Formats: sequence, C-alpha cells, structure tokens
Amino acid sequence: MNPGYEETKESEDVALVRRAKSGDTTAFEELFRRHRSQIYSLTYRMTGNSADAEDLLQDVFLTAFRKIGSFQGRSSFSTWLYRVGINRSKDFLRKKKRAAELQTPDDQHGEASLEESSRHAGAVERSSQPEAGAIAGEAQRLVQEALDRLPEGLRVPLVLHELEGLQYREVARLMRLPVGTVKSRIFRARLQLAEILEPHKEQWIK
Amino acid sequence: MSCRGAKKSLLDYADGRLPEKEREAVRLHLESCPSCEAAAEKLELSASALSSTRPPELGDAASERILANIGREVRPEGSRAGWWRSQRVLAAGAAVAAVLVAVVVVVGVETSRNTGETERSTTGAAEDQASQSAFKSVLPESAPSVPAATATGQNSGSAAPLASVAMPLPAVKASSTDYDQASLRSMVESLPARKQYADAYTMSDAAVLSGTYARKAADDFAHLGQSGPELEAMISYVTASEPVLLTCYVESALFGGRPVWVIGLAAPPRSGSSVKLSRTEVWVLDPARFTSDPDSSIVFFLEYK
Repeated sequence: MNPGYEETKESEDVALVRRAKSGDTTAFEELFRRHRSQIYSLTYRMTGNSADAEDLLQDVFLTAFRKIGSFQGRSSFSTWLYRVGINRSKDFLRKKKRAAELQTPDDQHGEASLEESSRHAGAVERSSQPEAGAIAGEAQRLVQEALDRLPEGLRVPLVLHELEGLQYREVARLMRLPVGTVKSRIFRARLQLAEILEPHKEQWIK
Repeated sequence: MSCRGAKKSLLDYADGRLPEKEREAVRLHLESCPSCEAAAEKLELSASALSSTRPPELGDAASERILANIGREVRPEGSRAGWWRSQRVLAAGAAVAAVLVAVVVVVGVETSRNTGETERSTTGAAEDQASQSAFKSVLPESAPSVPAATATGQNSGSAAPLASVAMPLPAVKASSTDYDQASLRSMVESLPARKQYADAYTMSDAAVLSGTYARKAADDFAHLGQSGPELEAMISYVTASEPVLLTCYVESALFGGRPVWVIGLAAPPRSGSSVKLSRTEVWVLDPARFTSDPDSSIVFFLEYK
C-alpha cells in the first residue's frame, strides 16, 4: 500500500474521530463505512461463518463507538479498532469453547445453563457449516475449517499476517508481543494448518 | 547450515523471501535433512492453501442492517429513527417542517391530507433531534482530544515547530561497535536521550514532531555518508500505525558482526493516563534486507517501559 495514501487515510480518520467525540453522528457512520470490510474479514476468519461474523462486527463497532472517548491517538484508529476486534473475537471463541464443553447429554447445570448451552450450541452448529455464498469452493471451506481448529494463540497472528496482509511488526504491535514471538507462532500455525490439510493436499499441490 | 539455523529461515524460504545466497544454503541443508525438508513442504502446502482463499464479502444489505442495529442500540426509548440517520434526516426534515409550518401559518387552514404530512414531518424532525441528543449521552463526557497535528496532516514537516534549545534532537552516529544483546541493552540504559525526551515531550508533541524528527535524523545520517532516504523509510516502517513515536537515537553499527541500523524511539506508555514519552523502543534492522523485505530485516527489538 502506498505510504502517502495510508498517511492521508489515517489523518482523515483522526479528523473523523475528533468529530465523533464531539457527537457528530455522521462521523460514526463514515468510520463504520471506512472500516467495516477490514473488521468483517477479521471476524469472519475468526468465527468461520457469516452469521457470527456479522454479530461480532456489530459488537466491535458498538464497543468502539461507546469507548471512543478513551481513544487517545496512541495508535492509528484502524489499529485500535483491530485491537477491539481481536479482543471481542477472543471472547467469542472462549464462549464457544465453553459452550461446546457444556454440551453433554447428561447436563446437570440447571435451567439457565441449559438455555445458555443451547444458545451457544446453535452458534457452534452454524460455524461448522460455512456458507457456500461466503466462501466458494471446497478448497476454501477446508481452509476455513482448518483455521477453526487452530488454537486461538496461533490463529490470530496467522489470520492477521497471512490473510489480512499485516506485516509481522504490525501484528506484534496489535498483539503486544515481540516480533520474534509472532514469527514463531506463525511458523507453528502454518505447520499445524498443513497437518490438518494434509489428507486433502491434492486440492492445492498437483 | 544447522537444523536450528535452517528453521529460523524456513518460513522466509518457503515464502520466497530469502536472498539468493541464503536460499541456496537452506536448499542444500534440505537435501540432507528429511526433517527440515518435511517442514518446508508443510509450509509450502499451507502457503498454497491460504493463498487460495478469497476475502469474505459483507453484503450491502447486511451492512445496512448492522448500521441500523447499532443505531437502535444507542437510540432513546420511543424513538423510531436511528442515530445514523439523524444528521441527514434532521437537516432535510427540519427544512421540510419549517416550510410546512410556514404554509400553515400563512394559509391558516390546511386540507386534512396536508395537515397529516405536516405532522409527520415535524414529528420526524423532533424524533431525530431526540435520538441525536440521546446518542451523545452514550459518549464519555470528558473525551480526551486527539492531537491536532495528525488530523491536519502536519507530518509534512513544514508546519511543525522546529526544536528550540531546550528541546533535545535525535542523536545520530555511525560507529563500528559490534553489539550483542547485553551490550546493546547497556548502551540503551545509559542513553541520555531517554530521560531528555521523557522530560521534554508529550504525546501531542510527538504527533506534531514525528515526521520532522525522522527527517532530521535522516539528514544527519546522510551527512555521515549513510542513506538518509532509506533510514527515513525504515523509521516510517517501524512507526507506522503508531503516530506518537518520536525518533531519539540512530546509530549505524554492527550486531553480531552484521551491519545494522539501531533506531531509538521515544513513546508514551501503552496505557494509563501519562502522556510523557517515558517508554523507549529500540529497533535493530538490517539495511541490506530492508528494501526487499522489511519484516525479515528486523534483527532485534528492545523495549523499556
């Protein structure tokens, strides 16, 4: 990406954030339009299906808009928003994991837990069925399913670097990790991904 | 090449980011090491698989629905219009209402159809005003301001104030010091610029001065016979997405026998309310690698919080 273009985009964001802080609602709408695709791509890769990704996208922007007063410009708005997106995605994955653990036939956790469990069960079921319209083709479906199986600590840097196109340095800043740790996690993530995809490798290696 | 050495370069090898000489060294190692060769094949498989995916697309209908939902989440009870529409509709609605009210006043008597329209328009404007003010209430009352300079693109340098005598400038030097991790730490710990910058500058200063100080360091670097534009590009790379990092130190030196450039940046704490530049980042980069692949040019990183 052209650095001059990025610089202009960032300074436009700063101006929009200032307007949003003073209560200009059109600035919020503009910020949403400028960053929705980037955040949706992240939430889709993290959840594996469009329904959850859209819910998370909404959650990320709602959180960001409510907390915009605490944004001090220590990072670019885009980086800050990504950080909100990563945190909300991690929360989602943890809830999903917990829900999956609760899904046992002889669940004795009472009415509230059962209700919670069944609500999350729906999410788990949806996420294991990526939609054809969103990810076309068998190969893409396999990759998304393989991503879903990676542990969160490996999936996040892999998605950010390999699919969202962020450089190691940017991923390191977002995750507040040393660059060396990010590289090593991506290395491990790539090996694990290949091991999951190995039975289907003819899809990519002819 | 050892397995350990090969594994460090394997990811860059699989992604075709190694310079020819290093690539050849890894290739020779792989010919004699089945374990590393298997790892390289896995990395190639995952690279092919990941590159076959397309970015997911958010449809217009979903996007508008989400925007509407966000508006509903923050609108007041009883209001039908969302905040995102309020500015647009407010202007249009108020204008229409004003015209229609004027018509009512002048004419005095309206047909029942027109009266209905008037009521709907004025009600719409009132709702929009209500929803807008209620939306404001969800914003924190004392929102800290964003540095003005970044908003107006003053990183061009011409509008930024130049340092006065009391303001420390980046220290720039060329040396033949061969650092290792310990000696670099020791050098950074005793660096006067760290305290000077922490005392002299705040986050807002950094937002204004970052571009100017990067250029100042690049100019001084060029006077030492080094590449100023490349240093500026390197500073831009390590500070991208972080508009409040101020260049405080640059040294051309060696690290483990390898020619490197050491870049010191003064920064505010990552969290908390302090805006002083009390944090220091030190980046050690390999200029020979930087142009072809900035990510793999990072040799070492240090941070003092």
